[in-house]
Amino acid sequence: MLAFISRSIIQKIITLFFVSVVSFLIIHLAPGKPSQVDPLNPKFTPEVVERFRKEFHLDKPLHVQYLYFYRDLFTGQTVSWKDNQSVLNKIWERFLNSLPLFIVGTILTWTLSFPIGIRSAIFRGHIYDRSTTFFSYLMISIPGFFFAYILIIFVVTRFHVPVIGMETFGLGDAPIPHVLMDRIWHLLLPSILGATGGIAVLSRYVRSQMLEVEGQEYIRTAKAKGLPPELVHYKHALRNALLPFVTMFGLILPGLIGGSVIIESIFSWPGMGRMAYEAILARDYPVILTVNFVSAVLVLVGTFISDILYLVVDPRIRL
Amino acid sequence: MANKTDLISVNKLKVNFRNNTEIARAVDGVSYTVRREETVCLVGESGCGKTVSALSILGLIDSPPGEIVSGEILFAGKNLLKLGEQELQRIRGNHISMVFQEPLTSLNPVFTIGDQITEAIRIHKVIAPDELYERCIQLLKDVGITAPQERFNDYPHQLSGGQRQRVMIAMALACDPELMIADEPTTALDVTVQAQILQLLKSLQRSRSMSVLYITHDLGVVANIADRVYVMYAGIIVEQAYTYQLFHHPRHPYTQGLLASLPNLSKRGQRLYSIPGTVPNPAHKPPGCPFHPRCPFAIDNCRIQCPEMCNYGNEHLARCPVLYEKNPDI
Repeated sequence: MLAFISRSIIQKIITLFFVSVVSFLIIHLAPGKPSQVDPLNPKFTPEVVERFRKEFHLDKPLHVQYLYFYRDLFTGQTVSWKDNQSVLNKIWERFLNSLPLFIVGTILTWTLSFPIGIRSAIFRGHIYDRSTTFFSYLMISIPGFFFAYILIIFVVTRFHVPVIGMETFGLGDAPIPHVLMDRIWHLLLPSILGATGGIAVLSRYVRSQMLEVEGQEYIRTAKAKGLPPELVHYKHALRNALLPFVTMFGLILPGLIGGSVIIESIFSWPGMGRMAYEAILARDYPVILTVNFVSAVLVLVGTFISDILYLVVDPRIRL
Repeated sequence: MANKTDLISVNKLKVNFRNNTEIARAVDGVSYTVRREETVCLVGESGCGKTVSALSILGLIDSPPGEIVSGEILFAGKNLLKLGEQELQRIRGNHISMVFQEPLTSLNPVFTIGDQITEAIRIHKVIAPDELYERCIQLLKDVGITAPQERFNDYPHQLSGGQRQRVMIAMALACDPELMIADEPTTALDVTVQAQILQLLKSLQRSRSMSVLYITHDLGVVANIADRVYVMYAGIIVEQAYTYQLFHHPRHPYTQGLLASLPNLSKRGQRLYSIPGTVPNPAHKPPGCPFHPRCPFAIDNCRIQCPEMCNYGNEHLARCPVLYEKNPDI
């Protein structure tokens, strides 16, 4: 067990190193330079550009730049080229904004997909199954921005509540319940929107997993033993159908930092996704690379957690 | 022997499987009886409907695509086909249990074997936890598992194929059923283990005085274990007899063909006999006797009408009037 964990951690550190190299190269290979973002800006004289390049080591060879960047990252000194603020502080601030969206969206997705998927597998071919199939494909195929506008129009005209942004300005002095309700209304639409796609896909996946397991011979054995259908479905079938989702559960962690560019843009939500998007447009290498690095770390931590969880839930896997 | 009372009788059972385009008559009017304390074999090749007819007893045919069209299955005075799902649940595992073909896939991989065996008892009986454990250990001993206390908490993948089949048998015995249906329980095992499992089933049948309905395609197994035999072909019973009778005086051309194609020490060096042709697709069975395209004795009438059983006496029946006319004596 200890050997497995240490081996796995060493492997993940090696992977992380390669990820850092490749992402660094990709960013630098991409067209456009930070020093040439806005050639029309009158402040960008050749002298300024030269000073800028020197200041941020852009005149050095790539491998030296790489070392400079990761030295700064690990000592916590990385600053954004755009506004000279600490990147880690920026990310932390945006992360706290994205967190409620992420938590509500994830809870909605994971609590609703399973009951929906399991029921449609058990009642395969019935009207319930067919209607959830229809709505799943509807939700998968409808573009997010379009669905968002429909929801916004509906909620705003029907309930007369503001939904854009994280909160309504000028509510600072209002009583606590008002502020709270205002926050919840703002949170509701983007989270639902973020969850619908996930629910549609995940419930389909749950359904097909469940159907596959229900066709196994041990399910017939369980029925032949005289078990009631609830035990057959929710003990014998579900326990097996859940195994692959343990892997997926570890992989929701990277979503913490990814955010959603589209949803955050539509709702003017100052979250991670928008920050990363704006950083890419501005060729703000330190921000892009730091976000990249943190999400790589989260992916690796997520897979590590899945591996451990798999050990716990599947008796066939032993070290 | 004939004075034993009937435990279960299947009468004119018809089961169809349908998909969008065609209907397969998998079981086409099958009747058989299992008496108390008797081992009956249902023999036939793959796809002849023997498993389907056994699964119908427990109501385990998935519907759709399966559909029980007609017939009755009488058990303890009740027609199982007319029972509701809950009444069937009380019979499954409790009065009638089943052992399946593939011990590797028939046990749930994520539960311990102790859990899977005691589960059947917990469902059907009121029993104290320590007693439950004792009973499970005793069952594992009865089926010849060594060190049962250690095996109790093992998962199926930690056992060998033969041990898993023993666990399946222990599970089937858990509630002392009157009837155990064994659906090719030895097919997936290697030959030495096969012999052990057969021996086990035989001794359990005697010591527990239960009845066994044994489904197989292997005539060697039949000779070893059966009191009486039903031979199935393409969804119908073509011959039924006591085992000795069947092996020494087969009265249906299909049974004769099967016995002739067995390897035999006196036929060393010769080619094995094989019945010409192939088994008909259950969705496109030939009219008349389903065996007529492969039968050396077929006459015109065989192609038109499916014959009735001809009685040779001493419960020996065969569905072939052509041979019956040639030699009606036993």
